Amino acid sequence: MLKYTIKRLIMLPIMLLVVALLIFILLNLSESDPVVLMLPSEYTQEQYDAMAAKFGLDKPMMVQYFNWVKNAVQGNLGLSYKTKGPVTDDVAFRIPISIKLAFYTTIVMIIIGVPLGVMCAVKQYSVFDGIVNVLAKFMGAIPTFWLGLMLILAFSIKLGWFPTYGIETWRHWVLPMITLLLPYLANYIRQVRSAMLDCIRQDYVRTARSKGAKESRVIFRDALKNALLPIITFTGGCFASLIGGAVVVERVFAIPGLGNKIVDSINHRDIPTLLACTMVLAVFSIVVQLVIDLCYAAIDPRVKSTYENSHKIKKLRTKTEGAK
Amino acid sequence: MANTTIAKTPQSGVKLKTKRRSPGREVWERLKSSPLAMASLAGVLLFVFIGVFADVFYSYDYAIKQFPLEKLLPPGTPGHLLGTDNFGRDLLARMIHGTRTALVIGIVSSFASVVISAILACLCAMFGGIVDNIIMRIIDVISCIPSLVVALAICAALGNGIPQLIVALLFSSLPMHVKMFRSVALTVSKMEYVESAVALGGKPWYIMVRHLWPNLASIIIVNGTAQISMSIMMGATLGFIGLGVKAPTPEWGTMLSEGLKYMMRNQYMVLIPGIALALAALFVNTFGDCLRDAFDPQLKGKA
Repeated sequence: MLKYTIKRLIMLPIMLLVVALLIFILLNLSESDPVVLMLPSEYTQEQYDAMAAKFGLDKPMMVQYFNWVKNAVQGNLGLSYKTKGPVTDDVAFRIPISIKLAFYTTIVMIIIGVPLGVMCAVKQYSVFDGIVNVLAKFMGAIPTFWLGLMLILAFSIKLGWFPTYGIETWRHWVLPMITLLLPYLANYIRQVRSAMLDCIRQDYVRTARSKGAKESRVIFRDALKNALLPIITFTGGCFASLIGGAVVVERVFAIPGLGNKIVDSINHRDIPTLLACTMVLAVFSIVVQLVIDLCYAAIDPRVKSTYENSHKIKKLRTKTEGAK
Repeated sequence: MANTTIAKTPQSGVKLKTKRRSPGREVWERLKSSPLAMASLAGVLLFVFIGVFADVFYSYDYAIKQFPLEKLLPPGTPGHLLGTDNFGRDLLARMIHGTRTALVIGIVSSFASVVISAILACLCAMFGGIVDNIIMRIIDVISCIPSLVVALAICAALGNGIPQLIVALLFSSLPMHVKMFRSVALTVSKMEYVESAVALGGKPWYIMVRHLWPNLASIIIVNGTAQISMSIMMGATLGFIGLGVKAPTPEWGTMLSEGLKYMMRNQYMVLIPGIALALAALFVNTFGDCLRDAFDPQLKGKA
């Protein structure tokens, strides 16, 4: 287990280096010269050279990349092309806002999604199941940004219950969270339902019932406990993708998070900021994935034993193959 | 598969004689028996019809022509059935040509994505080892950035335009499909008939075309269909953000973001493209679900 964790932790920086390299190459494909964009419309060659030198753009791409990595390790993500200030401060200010949005949404999703999913599975093919299924289909078809606009139209402009933008009070968070939640919730309920259905059909559930255990005990102790594994996996996956999905929601509700900054930096060709934001998202999704995998192993003894015994199994296999 | 008759022949006793129907026909039969599938198919075909015959309704030039004296007319105005936008362009014509844009983006990018994913997945399953490792590590790297951000970055690098948008959507959806197809291809490649084909000296390409692809066909079709609606939505999202297609091209997402400024007074400018987008996604999604049920009746009712 420890060996596996260490192996994954070693892979993390390597993955990040490759991600950074890919984005570096991708952004350098763009034809527009960032130095020209930063200068006033009339400039001299000296001004151009000075500006290029200030941002390290006079060097070849690979040198730029290594310089960026060297600085990034020390916590310096470069200078923004737009604000000319350090990117690190700006990004550090935005990370908590984005995580807050995704985290609260995930919590609400669990609170609503798990009971509904369990209920759908227990009463499979009932009217309730059917209604949730149809609603899930509709919710999955509504584009996030349009849902946000409609909510603003209905609850902010017509009814005046919630403000349209900003993050000051809890009222500001209600509409963005609903917008972010609904499209994911539909899929989430369906996933919980199918995980539960898989467990309800197992032999141990039948055994528990035949022993005369109470129905609620069978559902919550025997079925749900076993269904938790897949549920944890896709809850984690949802959390990671909510941070990415928040790009649009942050845009619609003008929330100063990472997603909003990504769009801004693309519009202004602000490559260092874009790179920094993307890297933060990548770090985040890798770490979440790692935590999920480790949780998985910690909860399920079967998974743990495969990690712990994998080298033994390999050895055994080579031995038997050698014997053949 | 369906019509099995047992015929006695003098030499071998009982012999199983199977009259096979093509699997495609069987899927179609199952689809035909479901009213939901037929309704959603009709909806999808309606959108395809509008997209294909867009020029018959309105010419493209009319869709981008500006009438300076007829700005922001509400729906129902004679001559402009759905009204006009802030530049005085006819909204109905723009919606119809926007359907074509959405369909081209959705279908081409999804088709390319599943075909490339299937080829990569088969390569992984067939050659294993280093080939598998290289492909999967690249996929891992792409998949640790949220797909919308991948699409954003590619759009930012390549600039605006329909081909660029298609490339962006293609790459952002690639990791998901490769992972899914690879797991199926791996299972198939361990089947006995594949092993025996290898033992008989079958070339990798032959095994890929003869054994892997037919087994992957259903999952490719089902995922490809689901991807179409995702691509249409993501294309519109990129258009809404201001990336994606070039300015006068009618596209639902761009139309929505133009309507944003006039949302307070002229709500129809946000309502109309949004409803079209949601309907298109709903039809394609529902049809995709029915298609999955038809391909694999055992999966029916599952998520």
